[in-house]
Amino acid sequence: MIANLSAANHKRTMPRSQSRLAITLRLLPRSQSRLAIPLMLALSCLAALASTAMAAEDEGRTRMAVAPSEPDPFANAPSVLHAPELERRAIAGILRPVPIVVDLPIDLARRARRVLLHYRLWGEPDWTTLELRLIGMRHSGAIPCLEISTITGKLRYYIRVHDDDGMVIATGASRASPYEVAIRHDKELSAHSARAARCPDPADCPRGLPGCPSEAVVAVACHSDSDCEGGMTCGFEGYCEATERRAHSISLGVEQAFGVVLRSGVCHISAQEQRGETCIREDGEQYLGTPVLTSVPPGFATGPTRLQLGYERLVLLDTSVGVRLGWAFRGGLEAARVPAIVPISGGIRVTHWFGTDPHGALGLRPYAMAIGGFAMHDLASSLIVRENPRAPQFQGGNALKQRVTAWRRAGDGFVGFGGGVAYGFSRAWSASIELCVLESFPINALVLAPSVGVALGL
Amino acid sequence: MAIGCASDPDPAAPEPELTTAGAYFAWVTEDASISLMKTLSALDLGTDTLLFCSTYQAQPRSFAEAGELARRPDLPVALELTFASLAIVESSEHQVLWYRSLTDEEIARIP
Repeated sequence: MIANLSAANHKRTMPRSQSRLAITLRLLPRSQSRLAIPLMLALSCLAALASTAMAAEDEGRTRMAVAPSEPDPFANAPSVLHAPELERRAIAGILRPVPIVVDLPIDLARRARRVLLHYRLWGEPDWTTLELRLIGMRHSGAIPCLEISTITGKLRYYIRVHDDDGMVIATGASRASPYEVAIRHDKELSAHSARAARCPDPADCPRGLPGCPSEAVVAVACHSDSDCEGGMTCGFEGYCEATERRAHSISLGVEQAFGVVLRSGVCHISAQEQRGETCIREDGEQYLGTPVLTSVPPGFATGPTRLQLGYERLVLLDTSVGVRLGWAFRGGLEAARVPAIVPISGGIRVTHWFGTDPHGALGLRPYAMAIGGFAMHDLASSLIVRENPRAPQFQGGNALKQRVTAWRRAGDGFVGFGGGVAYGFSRAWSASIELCVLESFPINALVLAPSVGVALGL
Repeated sequence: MAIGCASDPDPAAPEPELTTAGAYFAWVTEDASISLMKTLSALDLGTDTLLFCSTYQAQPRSFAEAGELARRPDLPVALELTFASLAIVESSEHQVLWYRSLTDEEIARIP
């Protein structure tokens, strides 16, 4: 109704050429968490300030309409409803509501879930948010007249359009450069404007009832931190909140690798030369005999122990990416004629956090991750080798049956997945325990890598 | 293709014999004692085979005890090189106990 009045007044008081403002689109800088996706947007916005219109014969630019926009190659980024400088300002009287009406083009209207009006009264330190109600094809609402009250000065406001995920898909003005409405006493307004209806009794028109001012929005939906303003961040539940969420963390942990390895024929000379195997006798010599090939089931092997230093960055509400550098300080193969293990390792990981804000909540936080990188995994298992007494001898001292330690140098690359649980015992510190299942290549082995560690959120 | 389990005994696993270089064997000598020896080499003489052996200081009282002693890599040597007739050994009670491939030191004893 307010919108209709506004439209009617405008049509009556302003030439069509003056009452319609061309709305052009431009792109906001890309946010860190979302890339612009090319998409044609024909966005039009019609923001009507009814009371402003009444007082706008001279200013005369309070009714905004839309000219068809050109195709935009970066359409999925938030768009700005841009108006020339003069048209960002209007005049309204005290004790009168300031209606806001936004018309969205059909394609944008389909994606729009909420249209939020953010305003700040003269002298107020904080911004207040209202959700415009969808009436027909229009989103409309009003800054309550009782909030306008009798205080004169500039009322500032801007508009943000959110989609189902809370993502901002269009804006009108901004917090840094808002629309302005000058609130003035009646005597400063034109006679026509002064006749506009004054504020009703709030008891007669409580917020939220049809025809009454909109309800104040308590929670603003969001998709990422860039959808939130005023120092707030996008919370794990998808609403802007004032909590301090730590997006970076460093970690220190210890990992012990285990492996499942094939053990048939691993001590044969060819396997030791070509397949990354090394068999060490109990006297410390490398086994170079002639074993009888027997069927031995896959066995469990122990791998190196690594100290790991990590860094992770939260890229979405529930997803982080990170790097890990490791140093194997125990468990590597040491034998003459065999190169020592390269102790350094590195990898990248993508972690999905379940349930709670990964760096903002206390208590248990389960997670799953995918990882990949480079690392040598020297996997040692004990094995009985049976010597072939009828074969030519290449090495002395090999008993008919002897126990050897079979080492498999798996790696140097690996990919894998895993899961774990972190326990946040403060907003900054957490401890975690996790298990990764890795497949090494090109010398393959199935590596199980449990680890424990602590992380510090930054 | 043979299919089997790892725990199955391997019937095709080659066993050492008296003439296998590196084979430990014990036999009952003429004085009824058990002698523990290791074959270094064997020379086929046509009618008999001459065994080049090392004799150990152990005095086992049974073949089982001799087998345990043979598994010890630090068993002291009594005679680094002795000769034995394969026919004589085979004609007496004997048993091949163990095998360990010859070390460089043992190979050097072979004439």
